[in-house]
Amino acid sequence: MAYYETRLRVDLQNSEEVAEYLNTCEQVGITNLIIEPLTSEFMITDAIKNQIQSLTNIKIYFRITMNPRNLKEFNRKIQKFNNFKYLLAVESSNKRIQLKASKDSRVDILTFSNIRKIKSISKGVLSLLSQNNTYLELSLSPLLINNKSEQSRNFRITYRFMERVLNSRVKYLLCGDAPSRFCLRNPRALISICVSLLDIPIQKAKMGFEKYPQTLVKDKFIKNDTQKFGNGFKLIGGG
Amino acid sequence: MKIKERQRYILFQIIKKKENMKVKKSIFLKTLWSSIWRYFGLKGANKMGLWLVELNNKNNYGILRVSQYSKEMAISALTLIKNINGMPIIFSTVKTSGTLKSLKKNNRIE
Repeated sequence: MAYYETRLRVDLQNSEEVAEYLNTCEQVGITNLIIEPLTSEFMITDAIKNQIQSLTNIKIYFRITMNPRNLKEFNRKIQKFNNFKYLLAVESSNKRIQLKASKDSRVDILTFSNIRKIKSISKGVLSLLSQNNTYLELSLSPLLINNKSEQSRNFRITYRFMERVLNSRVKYLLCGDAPSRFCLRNPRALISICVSLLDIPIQKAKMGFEKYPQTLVKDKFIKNDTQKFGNGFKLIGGG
Repeated sequence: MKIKERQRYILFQIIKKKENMKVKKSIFLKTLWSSIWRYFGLKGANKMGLWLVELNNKNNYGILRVSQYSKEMAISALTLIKNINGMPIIFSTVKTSGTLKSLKKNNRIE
């Protein structure tokens, strides 16, 4: 089973830290990993990409996450990402930014990593995401905290919003989003948590870790390939 | 007619911060049961049918036996353990199987 861990935040300039994280990912059994640098201003060069890939047998993909504070900043920053070859995610609790990002074709993922942001998901955003083939990403890291009362509240909120997401037609991603090395978990174990504690049917949970990340990565390759216009179309000659 | 409850064997790997740290069986079981009680309560604990078959500190693995329908609960409870006696630790499930023999054979465990 090709399960994906779709978000791992690492300092890409610190090769020791990257090697430690990748070693732990291998031990835990992650086979496909999407890494992101700590800041969105970081330039992912081919040299860094090749260096990281040479450290491990895990298939590695890259992404950048933008955290704009307001709509003006979003409009300014998104211009740097025209023809961006890696995955681009936007994270914000501001509804106007969410609506704008879900309509923008440069944005691949709309991500929600903490409870405050998960609570800001609205029906309108879900509808726009499903219409524009943008993925919604929910992080399971709020469920793995130590404080019992906060953890219980986080479970309740995630359960409620996951129900809403499953009832809509939006494509969703589920990720561990580990804040530290010892919070990394095998995606199959996270599926068990979704099934037993969030009441998500097992097939739906598997889609969030397997099918949708696969189609996301495949869609990105098709977008990057100038010979292809979309699913099922390819330039064969002339033009 | 007697209906036997089917079992599932769960092989898990132990990933420790310090390699020489030993995880005692009693402490592991105490931590696992407290995790089961915390997330699934009395009702979940009743259904579990939990038995620790093996805990090998040298090769960093363990085998649990649970009832068939509580496999996902057992894996969740194991996954949600973050530390033992304050030391960060990961219990990562590797494989589940219906028989101990096939689990050991397929994962090259003696």
